[in-house]
Amino acid sequence: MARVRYETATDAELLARTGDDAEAFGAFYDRFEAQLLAFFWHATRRADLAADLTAETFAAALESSPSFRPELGSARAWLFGIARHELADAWAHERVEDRARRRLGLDPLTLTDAALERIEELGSGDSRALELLDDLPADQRIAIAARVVDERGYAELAQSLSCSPSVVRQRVSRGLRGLRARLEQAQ
Amino acid sequence: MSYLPALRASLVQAAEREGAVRPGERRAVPAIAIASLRSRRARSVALNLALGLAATAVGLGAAGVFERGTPVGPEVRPSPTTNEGVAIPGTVKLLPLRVADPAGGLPWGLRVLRTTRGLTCVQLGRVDFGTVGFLGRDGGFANDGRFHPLSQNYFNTPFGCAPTDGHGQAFLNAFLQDRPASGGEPGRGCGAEEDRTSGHVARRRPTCPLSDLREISFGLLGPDAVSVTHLTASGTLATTPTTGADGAYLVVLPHATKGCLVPDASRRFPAQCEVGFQGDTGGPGVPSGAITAVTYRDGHVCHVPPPGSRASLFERCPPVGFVATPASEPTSAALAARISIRKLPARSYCAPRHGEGVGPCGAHVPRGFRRLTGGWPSLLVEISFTSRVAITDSHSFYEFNLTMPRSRTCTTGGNFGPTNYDIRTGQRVSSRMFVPYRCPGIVRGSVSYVPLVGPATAMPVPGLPGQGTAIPVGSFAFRVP
Repeated sequence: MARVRYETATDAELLARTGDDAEAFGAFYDRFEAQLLAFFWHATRRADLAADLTAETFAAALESSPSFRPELGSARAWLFGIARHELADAWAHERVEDRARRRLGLDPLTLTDAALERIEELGSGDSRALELLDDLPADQRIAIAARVVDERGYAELAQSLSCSPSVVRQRVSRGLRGLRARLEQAQ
Repeated sequence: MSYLPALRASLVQAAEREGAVRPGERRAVPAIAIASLRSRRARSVALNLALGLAATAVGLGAAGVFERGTPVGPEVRPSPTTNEGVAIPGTVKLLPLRVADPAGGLPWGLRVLRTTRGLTCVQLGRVDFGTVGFLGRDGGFANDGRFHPLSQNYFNTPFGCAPTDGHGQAFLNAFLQDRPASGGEPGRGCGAEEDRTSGHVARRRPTCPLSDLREISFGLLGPDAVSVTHLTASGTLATTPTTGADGAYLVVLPHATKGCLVPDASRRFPAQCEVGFQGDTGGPGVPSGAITAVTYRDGHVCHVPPPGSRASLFERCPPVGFVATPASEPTSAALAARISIRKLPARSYCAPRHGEGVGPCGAHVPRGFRRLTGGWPSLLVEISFTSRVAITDSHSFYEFNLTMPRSRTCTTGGNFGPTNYDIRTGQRVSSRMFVPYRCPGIVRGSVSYVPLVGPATAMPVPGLPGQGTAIPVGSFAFRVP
């Protein structure tokens, strides 16, 4: 599969191709690496744990990729579902598991200082945006999270929020304006 | 550019290896197994429907026919100063809300109590004899058909406890999937179990008739919440007032055949949901599930993100009305202590069958203990220090952190663990943690003090909502051979 095909393939298509084309999983990894690292950093506030949990999540996702069923939902939600389970496991057992990595025989993860610093930057930036998001009124916060973070359509959002698409657009627009103002104040 | 290029390369190599064995082996066998399971289930459901047996609870479910059975006690002997603590006499109250079970019989209810460790806990179950309990059915209690009342110190209801705030309120919510209709936890009889054959995803496989499984939402929203809007078994939405000053709610629905409560475009119920989102969720905010909105006294309405959306990971209806407990946080200087390290090398280690603690053991396993097996060969290390402040409840705790040396053989970033018990000023505090021998070199660690500053779960883990900034107590380092 040519590189350009990876870029135009959907997340689900990349997972479906993984069994025949290992690099497709690499492309899937590229799409979600930063998001997962930021998610785990936000939860643990530690770059090394975030990297560890990200590695285990991708390993578990690779193992489970044959069972992924796009008709049940998006690959992104599926991946974050695995991530949340890994996080819960880590909290419950007070350690990061490496079962999936061992089963797959993955090379040990070596973390350089530079990599840890980049993860810290990634996570703390994400964290500040999320914290600022928390300051917005609830209706705007929900609309931004659903539209900007989750990339859901206005029509779909309007249905789930029981309002018109124009109201959702208004909430997103006002929320983003408010977020920009807060970011400028913070800088 | 990738943040972890070596991880990416390893995954792609692993994908190549996996792909090489997949076509003939890994896919075909589970596919046949799942197909036959589905077929058997479908036949069973069809037969039950044809015979009018879909509601298997009918025989046992008529209110008042139950005899009282043995009480359900806590799994671990309760202590007033450890974990949840014990129920404070006089605080235990059965809430007046009653919710019908989809198959009839005894109603569902909630009991609320305060504990000696500053928590408010909710107990979920069927209601009879003026209390909550589990029914001897669904494989639990040997199907004795009796009503088993819950002990006041039974704290196994998932997400059932939360720190009590400065006004005596608590904010907790839970969405439990595939709970047995008996009221009991899945471990006590049938329920659902995780299917780990295909990896690490919690794909759930019911082990009892689907008609005996329930999807349950419950919680305490505080005095400002006036109602919740929720799904009903028919697929419509309904709005139900909360109960009492606790702002309590409880919704009991039949099993969702696709495992998750997501209204589809036409708002028919049940609809599909991502595999990864199945399972129990909860916390101080209202999680995605059966509850779609919360209405507050001032008129504002909080909409809960639908399950399966990424927003549902980050966005929950936040607690409203939390009042922080007035307390002054100690400074790092007031907390500072010298940290001691003791290595406990042994060929094998044992842990109590019930309760916490681990230690070296020889050929003989002490009574009440079990030998720990599996995992990488590890060194047990005891970290200890003398506490300079008192911890009197669950509103603060000490946190131990270990960071492993970086090497080619060490894939674990670190371990972490909190204290979860009361501590006196001057008391020696210790924690034992395993360090794998595949992480040779200098292990660095720290001890911190973490206060609660907002609505939180009863689980003391930094990073979860409500946990304050960790205040340093001391740091340490030791070598793993």
